[in-house]
Amino acid sequence: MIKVNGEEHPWRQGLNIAQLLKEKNYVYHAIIVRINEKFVPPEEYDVSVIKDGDNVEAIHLITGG
Amino acid sequence: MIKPLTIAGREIRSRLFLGTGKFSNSTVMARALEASGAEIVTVALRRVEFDNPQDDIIAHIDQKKYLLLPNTSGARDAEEAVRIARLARAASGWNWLKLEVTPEPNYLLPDPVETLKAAEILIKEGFIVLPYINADPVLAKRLQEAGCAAVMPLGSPIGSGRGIKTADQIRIIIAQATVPVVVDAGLGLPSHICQAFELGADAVLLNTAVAAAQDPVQMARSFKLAVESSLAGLESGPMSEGEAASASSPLTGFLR
Repeated sequence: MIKVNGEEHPWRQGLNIAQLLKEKNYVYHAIIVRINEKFVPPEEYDVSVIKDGDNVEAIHLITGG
Repeated sequence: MIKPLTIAGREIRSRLFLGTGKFSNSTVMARALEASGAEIVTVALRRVEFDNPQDDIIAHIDQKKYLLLPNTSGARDAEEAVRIARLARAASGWNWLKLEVTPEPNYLLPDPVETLKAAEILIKEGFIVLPYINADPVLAKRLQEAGCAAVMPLGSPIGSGRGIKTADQIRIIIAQATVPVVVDAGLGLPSHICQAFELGADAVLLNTAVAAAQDPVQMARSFKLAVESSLAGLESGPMSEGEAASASSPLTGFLR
């Protein structure tokens, strides 16, 4: 099990960020991803393997004043 | 012809900055942005809500036309603000930032000590920092000396629509300013915009006044007109005030 934006998500061996975002129906612009508070560059999304127990955060720009 | 505003060496064509929060939907927001004539628009940084994909507003903001100014909303101290700022830079791909540190939720008044602390760190890291502050002339001076690109004093609490209740302090901030002064927060009516410019402000930042109007698009247009009207009036060389009346009609040939 991993955490994705604070919620539990099933984990499997070899899961990478690109796959995870696809599973989550990623449609966002300007997203950034951190694993265990460490920033992952977009070009590494399909090679960055998520480990069991990792805390994954996807952050983006949204409306605000 | 209204002179463009320059912030951190960049020419900004509109002196009205608009927030993107609280609009009923993205279409209304996009139309209001268009009607306002704004170039700088503020955005926030949050965790993605994967179950609610409609909240991807960036898709509705044409980044060729608008300059995104991410804020640090939600930050309660300097450490949180710096963390959000770094993430905002990664998400937006550039280094302009509306720094706001608001530790208490009732009035959302900015914390001066933490704001200055965060500004000093972020400026060293290469950010273009536009801090949201209370209308405190001493703090504004410290922030401009620290290297902030502008200072953004409040007129009244965020989203209150109460207008400029801090006019005397804003006047002092403007008198000593070496960077642009943007009146941010509390503006609710076109007349508040006029007051800000008549005090000598360089720009204004609005959000709720537009988003919470019954017709946000028309309200955005009305604010645009207020900016143009105020600035054109000021550039025209306003008349001097006098104590007594000065008749406008000839004082001869009365039909008595």
